Amino acid sequence: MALIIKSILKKGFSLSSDISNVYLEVDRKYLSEQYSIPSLLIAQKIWIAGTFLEVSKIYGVLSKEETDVFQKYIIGKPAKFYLVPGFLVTYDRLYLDKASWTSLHDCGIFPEEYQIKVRLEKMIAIEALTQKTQETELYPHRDIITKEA
Amino acid sequence: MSIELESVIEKYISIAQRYYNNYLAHRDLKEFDKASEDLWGVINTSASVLSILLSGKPIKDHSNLRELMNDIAIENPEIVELYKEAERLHANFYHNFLTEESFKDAVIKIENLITILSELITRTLNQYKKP
Repeated sequence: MALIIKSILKKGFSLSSDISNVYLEVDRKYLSEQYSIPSLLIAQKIWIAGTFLEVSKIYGVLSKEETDVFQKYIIGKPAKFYLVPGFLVTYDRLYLDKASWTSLHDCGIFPEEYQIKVRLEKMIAIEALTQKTQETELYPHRDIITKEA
Repeated sequence: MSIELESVIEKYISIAQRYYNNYLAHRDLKEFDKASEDLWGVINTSASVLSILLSGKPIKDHSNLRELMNDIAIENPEIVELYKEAERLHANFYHNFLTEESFKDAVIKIENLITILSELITRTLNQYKKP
């Protein structure tokens, strides 16, 4: 089971060398609020792991070529995000890690033109000092589908 | 770093310095509403320098400023409260509700926020200089 979201791909800030500057948004009630993430953030980095489910255009429909390429290289492939909780805003930002962004980038997917549907399966918290990892399954008993998805 | 980028950053830094000097002048005249807005200007322009370094673009509006503050708060959690104080100063320009005492308390927090932003700018500039 998992959290299923759909969001426009947007460009944000380059926060770190292992994270892209491209992100998806999710209402914070589904993630950082539900899992009390701001209080977990002391000396921890939080990653969210999941799977790409769908790529679509904000306006218009995909061509056959796009559909075939996305099906071959993106759909069903793993996705990983760095979580920036909404401390001052009402949504969490999920910055794609470099590898996940490269897989979209190489298929000619542009921020502000495409939207992505993903299945977010687990949260991985890594302690900065010890590198100790703690994994938490997201919504293990049923799929939660956000209203945008 | 390109010469163009360097000159854009210099421009924003000089604007921030000008706002800061205006703040000092208005503070000394006890015009706390105007001094509040000057500090808001310092925060905005300093944030623009950081935004240019992190995204290639200056801050375009209030919500964009909030987004930047939100994202850099992940490594500097104290920013959340400090930034809320900056927004309170911005509101004080329009409504002039802060007493001298509460204005002084707010300034301590804003000075702290300016220091954090300056440190982040310096750290990010150093990344640019790395080969």
